[in-house]
Amino acid sequence: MDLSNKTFVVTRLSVNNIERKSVIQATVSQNITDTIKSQVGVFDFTLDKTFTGIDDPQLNLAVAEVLEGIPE
Amino acid sequence: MGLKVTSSEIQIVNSDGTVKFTSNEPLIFISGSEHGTHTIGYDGAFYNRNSFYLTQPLLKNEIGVLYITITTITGFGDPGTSFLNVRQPANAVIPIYVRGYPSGNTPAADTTHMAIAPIIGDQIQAADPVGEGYAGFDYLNGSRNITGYNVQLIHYPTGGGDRPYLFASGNQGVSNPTITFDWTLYKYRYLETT
Repeated sequence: MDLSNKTFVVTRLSVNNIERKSVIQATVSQNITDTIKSQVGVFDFTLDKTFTGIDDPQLNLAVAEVLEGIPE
Repeated sequence: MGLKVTSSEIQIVNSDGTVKFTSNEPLIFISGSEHGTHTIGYDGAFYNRNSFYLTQPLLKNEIGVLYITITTITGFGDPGTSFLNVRQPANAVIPIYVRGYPSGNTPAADTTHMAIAPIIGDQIQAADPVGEGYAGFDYLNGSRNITGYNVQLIHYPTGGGDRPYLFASGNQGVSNPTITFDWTLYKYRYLETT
């Protein structure tokens, strides 16, 4: 997925430090104008790594990598 | 500092040889966390109730510490900003409006609370406080995994034209608030000893 002109927000994060994995839900939107967005979709996936919280910078990097790997 | 291995345990000793910790002492550690966003608002009754659920349940040998951060408030009136973007613990009932006043010679109060109670499967029933007069919690089956949380706005007294209120910058408060908050649940696991 080309993330150009798109915005994603992590809406759910569940971190399991025992199994060293995280369950993530991210919502992707297309920017129509500065104030109007169109929702592209909601994506759920699991990563074999953990994060400190929803504001962890590493989380955004990991989510972007996954979303960019989704075929158009 | 050093390690000492005996026939029954591993000991951590300091430079004087004093045992500071052993492998037989129970540990508590961060097993995980959950993060999300939730909204609760006025639905035409004297209270409102809805729920959010965990992706991975809080196990019976885990301690949950829940925090919420209110991000937006809408309603009739000016909500002010004192509630916004402040992380606060939510393992109890949170008073969001308390107004004391004299009723003749008797002190009275008009209150709204936001309660966040754990859901254990289908065991917990947060009863209608208007029709039933109580919120019931069934712990008869002992320790169980917690699968989510009930969120409830409770206003008292329930009679007349009263509706949920929220503290505001003015005297009256915000009526019928819709509250959106981010929530974070930290899970601490301990080793059960028998």
